[in-house]
Amino acid sequence: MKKESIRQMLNGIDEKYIIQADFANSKVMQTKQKFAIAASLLICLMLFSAFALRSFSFLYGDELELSAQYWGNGIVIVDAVNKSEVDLTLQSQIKLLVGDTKKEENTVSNEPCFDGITIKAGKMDKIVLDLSKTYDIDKLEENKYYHLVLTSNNFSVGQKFRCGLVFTEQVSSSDDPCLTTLPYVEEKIKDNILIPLQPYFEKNTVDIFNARHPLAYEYLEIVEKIISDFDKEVVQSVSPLPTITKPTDGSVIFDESVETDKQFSLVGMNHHIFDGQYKIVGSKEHESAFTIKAYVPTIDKQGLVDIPIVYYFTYEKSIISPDKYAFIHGQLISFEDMEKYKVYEDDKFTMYQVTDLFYTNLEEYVKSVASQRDDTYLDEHMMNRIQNIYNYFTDKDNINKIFSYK
Amino acid sequence: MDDNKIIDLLFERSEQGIAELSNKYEKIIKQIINNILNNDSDTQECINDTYLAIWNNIPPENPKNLSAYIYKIARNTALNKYHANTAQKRNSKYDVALEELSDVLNSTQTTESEYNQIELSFSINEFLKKLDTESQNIFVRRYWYFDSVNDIAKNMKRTPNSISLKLLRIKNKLRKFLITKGYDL
Repeated sequence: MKKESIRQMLNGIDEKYIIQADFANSKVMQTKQKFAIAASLLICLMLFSAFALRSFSFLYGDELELSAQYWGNGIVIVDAVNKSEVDLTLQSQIKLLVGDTKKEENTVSNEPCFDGITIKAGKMDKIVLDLSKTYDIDKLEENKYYHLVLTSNNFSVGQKFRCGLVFTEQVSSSDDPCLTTLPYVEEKIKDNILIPLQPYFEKNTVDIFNARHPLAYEYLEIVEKIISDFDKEVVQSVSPLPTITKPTDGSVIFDESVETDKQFSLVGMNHHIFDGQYKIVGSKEHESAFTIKAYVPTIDKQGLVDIPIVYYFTYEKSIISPDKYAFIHGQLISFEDMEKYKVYEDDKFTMYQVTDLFYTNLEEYVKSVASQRDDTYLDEHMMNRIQNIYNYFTDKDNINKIFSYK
Repeated sequence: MDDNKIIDLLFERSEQGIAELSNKYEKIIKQIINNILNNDSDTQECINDTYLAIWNNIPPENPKNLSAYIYKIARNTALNKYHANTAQKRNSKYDVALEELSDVLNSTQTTESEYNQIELSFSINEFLKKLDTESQNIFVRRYWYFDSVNDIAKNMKRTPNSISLKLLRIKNKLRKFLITKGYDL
């Protein structure tokens, strides 16, 4: 086995072993920390001695790591990692706090969602919650975002542990994302994508756990090899945080049905490593595109869906030259050819609007992205809104008016 | 601060999220990077790159285990930098650990089959699953975190000799395991 294979093999070590080895290492605690815990335990013992009949575990908030995933039909699976040196017993009571208001959600019965659990020191465990008899599931799915609170002692201060829980992101063990709708890739774009990379752009990568990351990882390995074999220098993009000066004079209207001063709230702007089809945008896992997203409502009009529509790549001005290459969306493109995409430049950075390397037919593309979620509301009105946002952010003059890295 | 709160801050695009993350994880991030780069100035630059990568990735990413996610980014960032810098003096703990492993796993064949990354990942995790917890930790500390034998011994309150012996046994087991899986060794 060659070193590269050994390196790849080591890279594939599962997260659980990485975390476990981290705990093992951090178990050798500093004397100071030990004193702090001993003192805290003593204080707790004194504070709660009046309630000594009930035993409980004491833990710092960040010593229990929780991550919850909704599986549909009221079933939630929580991965719990006890990073402390003591066993932790969680009681069967739980609370759900509404995401934005933090108000506690009402229960429909006193039926416990689980039997309680003891998580051994330094160990991970899975907690399965059945909320179907305790909560109104339709209501939970309607509100979507909650904070799940577990406790080791009746939700007393320092004895409760929280994590986010989204009720729309259902994980299904039976759905094979590769068998669902194929991603939208235009023939002319596909022709420009390097041949060994083309299969990646034809696969469905909507499922974050089973497809997106493993396929992205494979893809990046191939990209790395292509770039190392390529006889020209490939420059990586950078992701400095831009300053956006949004016009406040009412001159920009994306949607006439929305108040003038709220026009820019229809637009999302952020760096993303994946595009609207969940495909890696750059050549490295940390390379990202500054992305403009149009917000449209969900079908029930209760939420928003963002659709990435305009992509920008930024490079350090000092290291680019016409003979060097950029790698974007499976395509190698010389900076000489990139000139036509240039929309912004200052003394440090050059930014290119490269949406044409992702798609050229806005309507087809948007319909495809929207079809990947079953709750996107899209009609002629929304398409007009998206078109207006697209027109504004693909116009070089507009970018120069509002955009700056200084 | 709780990891979920750090992620919340990053989702709110608050730079406080990076500050809290730095308070909590910088020591380990630094250790991981320095084990690979073995150079103070490169390590500091790489720590900054790691924070930038985290800032750029979260959102949209919402890692299940923030610590493992951060360590992976730090490790990959350091490895990329290490491989990019051809002038790098090859004496880091990373080199030593990789050499040590390749001594046992190196192929006598002149050519090697193209191994699939997913198969390799599957094999190593299948192997780790067969080990006891202590052996798993020693192996991962040595070949994922690239800790030195002395550091592992110190943290596990064992002698360096006992850790070396244990590692030798694990590596031999790994060799046998991979041969049974059909790898050229």
